[in-house]
Amino acid sequence: MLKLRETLVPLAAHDVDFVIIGAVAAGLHGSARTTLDLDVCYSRHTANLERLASALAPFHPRLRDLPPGLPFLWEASTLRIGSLFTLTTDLGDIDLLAEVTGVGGYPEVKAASVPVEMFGYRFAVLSLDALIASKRAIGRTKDLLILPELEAIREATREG
Amino acid sequence: MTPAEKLLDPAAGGAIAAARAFGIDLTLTAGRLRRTPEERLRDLEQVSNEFAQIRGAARRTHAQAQRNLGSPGRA
Repeated sequence: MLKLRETLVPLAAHDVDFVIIGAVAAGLHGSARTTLDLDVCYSRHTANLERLASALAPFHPRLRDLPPGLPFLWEASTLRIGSLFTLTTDLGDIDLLAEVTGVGGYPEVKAASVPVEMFGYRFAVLSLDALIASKRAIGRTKDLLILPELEAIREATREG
Repeated sequence: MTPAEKLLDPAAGGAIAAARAFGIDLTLTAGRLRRTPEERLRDLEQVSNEFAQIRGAARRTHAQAQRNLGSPGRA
């Protein structure tokens, strides 16, 4: 079960510095493709890691590939030791990435984002151009397959 | 023309025409473009959850079929 609003609003309410990327960003730009998880790129600044850990803690994040029974400590110090976390939570699966292939680290990703107003908050969403660049750079079949639709949306939404 | 209208009436030689030739159903995309970001998010969530339910049901059915195949045969 993927609960996007219930995930995104606490992140915004905790002032987490993050950018919505991946298929959810594509969906916000108008793509009809579906996804089973939420991908976000996050700032690794210490204060932000604290906010991110606090925002998601009520939803019991846990590494998806961790065998059942093994302990997992969800706190800022855990986030500090990695740059990619594939999590399962009470609200669905969330992937946390410190950088985006083809775009760069959080500062570059944030600079390549556009603001989208939803649910009373302003969210940063990876721009269509950056999303296309990222999908092309990743180059997996599943990423390349979405390119024609994204490029069509870019052409359709271009001014003039 | 609105973006949705452009998707449904593409100019020759462009990215929209290429997407249609690739096999993308642009009527679905046009439908999404007519909606607000909040509505797009809700649509994505709903379709994703329905897909997950179907996938879960298919896996359960497959697992049951495997168990049945492994069970003792009838005389």
